[in-house]
Amino acid sequence: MRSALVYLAWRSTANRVARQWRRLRSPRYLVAVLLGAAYFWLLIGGRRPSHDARPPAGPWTDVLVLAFLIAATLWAWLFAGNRRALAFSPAEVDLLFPAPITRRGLIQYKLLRRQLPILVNALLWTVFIARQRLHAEAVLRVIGMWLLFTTLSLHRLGASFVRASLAEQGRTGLKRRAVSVAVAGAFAGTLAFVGWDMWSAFSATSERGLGAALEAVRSSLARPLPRALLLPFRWLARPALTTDPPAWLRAVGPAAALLVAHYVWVIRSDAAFEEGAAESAYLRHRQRGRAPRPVKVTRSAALAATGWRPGALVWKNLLAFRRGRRVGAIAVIALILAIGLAALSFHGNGASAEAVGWILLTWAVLSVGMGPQWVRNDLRGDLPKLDLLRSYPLHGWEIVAAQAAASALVLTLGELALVGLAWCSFLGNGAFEVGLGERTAVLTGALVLLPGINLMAMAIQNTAAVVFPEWVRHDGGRAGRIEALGQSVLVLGISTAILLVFLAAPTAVVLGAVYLLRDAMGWWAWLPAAPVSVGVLLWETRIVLLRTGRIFERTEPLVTSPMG
Amino acid sequence: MIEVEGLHKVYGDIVAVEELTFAVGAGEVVGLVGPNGAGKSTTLRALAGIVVPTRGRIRIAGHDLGAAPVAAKSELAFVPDEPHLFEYLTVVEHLRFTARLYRVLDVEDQIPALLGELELQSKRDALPGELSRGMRQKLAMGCALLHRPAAMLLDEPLTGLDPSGMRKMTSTIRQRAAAGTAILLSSHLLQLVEAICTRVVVMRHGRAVASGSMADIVRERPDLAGRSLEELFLALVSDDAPGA
Repeated sequence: MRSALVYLAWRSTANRVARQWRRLRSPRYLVAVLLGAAYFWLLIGGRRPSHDARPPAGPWTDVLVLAFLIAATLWAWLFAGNRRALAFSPAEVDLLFPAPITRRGLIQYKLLRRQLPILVNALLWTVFIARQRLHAEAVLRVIGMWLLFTTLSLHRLGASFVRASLAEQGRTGLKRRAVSVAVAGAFAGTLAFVGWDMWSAFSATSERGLGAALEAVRSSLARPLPRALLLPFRWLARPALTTDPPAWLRAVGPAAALLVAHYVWVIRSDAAFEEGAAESAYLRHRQRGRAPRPVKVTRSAALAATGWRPGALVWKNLLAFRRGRRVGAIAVIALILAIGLAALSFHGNGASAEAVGWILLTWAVLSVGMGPQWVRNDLRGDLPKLDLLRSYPLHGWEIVAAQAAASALVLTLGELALVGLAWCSFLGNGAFEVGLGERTAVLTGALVLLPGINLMAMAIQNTAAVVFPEWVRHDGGRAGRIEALGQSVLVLGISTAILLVFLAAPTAVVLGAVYLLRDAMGWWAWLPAAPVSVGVLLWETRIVLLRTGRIFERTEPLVTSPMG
Repeated sequence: MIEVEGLHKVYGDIVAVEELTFAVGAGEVVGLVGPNGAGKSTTLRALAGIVVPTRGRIRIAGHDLGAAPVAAKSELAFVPDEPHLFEYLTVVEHLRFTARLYRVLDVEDQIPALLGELELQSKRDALPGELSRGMRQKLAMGCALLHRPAAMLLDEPLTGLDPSGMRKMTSTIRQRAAAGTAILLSSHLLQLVEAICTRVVVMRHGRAVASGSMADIVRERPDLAGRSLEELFLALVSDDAPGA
């Protein structure tokens, strides 16, 4: 029976690759692949090839990598869905679950199926992080990345089994998973203690400024207890960060031991995952790209029968977004945070609030580039319903515009919340170089600029969905795994590059206007400059939407959706 | 109301629909029948504006679908065999959403009657995930009926319905036809087609091998006289049939 599973995994992968290869007969896909390859080549060829090619190392690299690994581990235990860790397709559920295959066999099959994406992503991450061409040392790093991603993937799976067992079997489950729960509990306790210790170090030195406080935090990590806590994470990360062959050979042993330990943990779990996996598979299939979470039906704003017809699509997408998430709770938390941060900014010299403010601002800036990947309540979610959309009495550009507008609106609100919170964080900080008036001017400028930028960014994403429907990631097929991030980074890089091209003219306009008006208005010159810039951006967006609309009207749903 | 002239659709090397010509008048129910892969669904999807014909002309209520797609689609309703619903809209919100798209000003007046007709009153605030297959089919039908279309395209409209639902749906189709709607219906349920369709178009390998009323077809093929639609269908689409 095991050979049948290996055959299934092998043939599925081979056929998938063959299908992707055949897709290149289409000129648009071929051109896109060539452009992608060129981007990739620029990424690794931008520098002279260097055998030294180390990742960008600095005093904080180690801390950042460890923070990432800890966050991934905590996520697996706290938030990752119990039922989504082993993502079976409906066909696998129908054909494999009733077959005489052990649970262990099914888990091994799924682990085998994960290897190709993990390897591809290990390769991509090696390029992104280290910008290496494929010489011998790069191969070592790819292996290091593979070890890291595979172990994280196994950890997520093991954690999901423990969580499912506790949720479904209660006290019996707790007894069965006593060792796992004890280890996780000890880790959580130690982490809480270390976290408190770091916060104390930060608070004690915050009077001397943000830099000194952060340095104190880094020093606190060198103490014995934090070092012991972080040791497994360091073992795991080291082969991915080391290029020197002898050092790599020394590092790979502990990392491989961790991987084997995780494999044994998962394989011996014997968790009854079938029911949850089957339910999850059918739900994903039925919902086709929507979050498989029970939804509380909330009252919706009335939709009048008159008005801009595509407004119905905007209304639908906003409603879907609201019902798919706890928007009300998030808004309340944001409000409490705003008040809390504003109060904290008046405390002492406001260093703590300033630190939070910079983090929030960083996220706001990042979300301009990455947000269009996160917020997807648009054509990317509706692609499986292309038949339905095309039967509506709407022009193609109207459908694309409405879909992009819904996502842009959500993203803008999120970004403005982040910028607003950052503004609150700096509110009482008298030592800050930029005064309150100037900061308010920038915030007001953001209010005007962000909707325009986001609409263009979403227009690009929706254009990609129309032009390359087979490359669009359907949320239903997303396992939310860290190892799949590499592909997202590639997509992010390409779409950001396109966005930057479109932003060139509006940026020139806004900078020119600010330059001309700066003597008379100072920072407030942003205010008249921003609408002019947005006007240029909207004109560009209109061209993109009209062209995409025409492509949408000619797109054959048979290619994108096998349901018809 | 529905006029199809020389409809031709090619996918790569495969001819899905070949030079298809027919018309459905106001108040008529025409059945589109044929074996799997005959080109029925492609025909319906081309008529709905979902796939673009390779050549040929389609007119809905006098509007050319190629030249004036929005005007043509405004007069049309399409109910696919697999009802596509939005997972986060309730039953009543689906109707309001459709009302905005088709500018149905009296939607609030229509909703109670429509929900009653489709037996969905108790599910008005339910999401599609809470509905059975049959209820989802009824909701898709409700969205199609809301704007009183001049032409309707129904692909397997009885799929997933219980016997009572089938009877109700059949009655709804008849009522809409009696009110002047042109209905093109594709189904493998030949008893249904025989019971409610005034004419049929029998397709095979993308071509119409017979069309007209039962009497018209028998006139063309006297050897099939006295047979039921099912027997007639099997004779027309078998490999031994003339023109196969």
